[in-house]
Amino acid sequence: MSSTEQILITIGTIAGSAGLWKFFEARLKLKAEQRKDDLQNNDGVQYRDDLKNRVEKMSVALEEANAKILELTQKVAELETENKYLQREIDILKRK
Amino acid sequence: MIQHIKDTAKQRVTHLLDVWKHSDSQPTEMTLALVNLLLAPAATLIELGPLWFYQIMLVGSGIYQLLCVAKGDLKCRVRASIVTFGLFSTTLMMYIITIGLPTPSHWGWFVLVFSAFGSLKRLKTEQLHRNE
Repeated sequence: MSSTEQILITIGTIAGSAGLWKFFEARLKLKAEQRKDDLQNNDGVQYRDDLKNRVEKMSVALEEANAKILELTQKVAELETENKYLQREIDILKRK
Repeated sequence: MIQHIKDTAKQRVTHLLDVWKHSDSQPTEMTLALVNLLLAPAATLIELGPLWFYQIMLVGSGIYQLLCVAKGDLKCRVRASIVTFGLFSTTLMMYIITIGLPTPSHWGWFVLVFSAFGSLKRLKTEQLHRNE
């Protein structure tokens, strides 16, 4: 086999197999994209996304409720103290 | 009983296909690189005579693939695997054109082409999964 033949066969076969690979690569990419689309439009995935949103909203609501409970507890404590002093005043006034 | 055998066989085949499609391909890449680096040049030199351009390319591609596996760069590994697949196809072609495939042991080159293609496919799938 001459050098030219050898070089031509080598380059030709490599180019041919690269072409064949490009075809398979395109098919693989297409399949991967289809799989991704299927996954995005899947009912289970949509349900999971809905659940995620709900959990996020509920977490925010829980934090707000906690803050409000803290505020109300403080107010109740203040009112209890005030009530105690008023009760004492009433007792003093009654004795007079 | 027959249904059970059928189900088990189906499970095993599915598992084999999964392993073929998704298993880690580095050991295969290294083996293929070593074949291109050592076995293929020696075998072709002995059986087909000196084909310097092609045999130097074999050695080069073997070294390149080993380097890519060592680096762990996925893009580089895909490139090297394309070259390796091309060169295994070339080896097969060289044999077919010159002496043919006279003995069953020569059909092993088909296995190597198939293995190189499988390795390349696995790598590409990994690349697509990683979105690189």
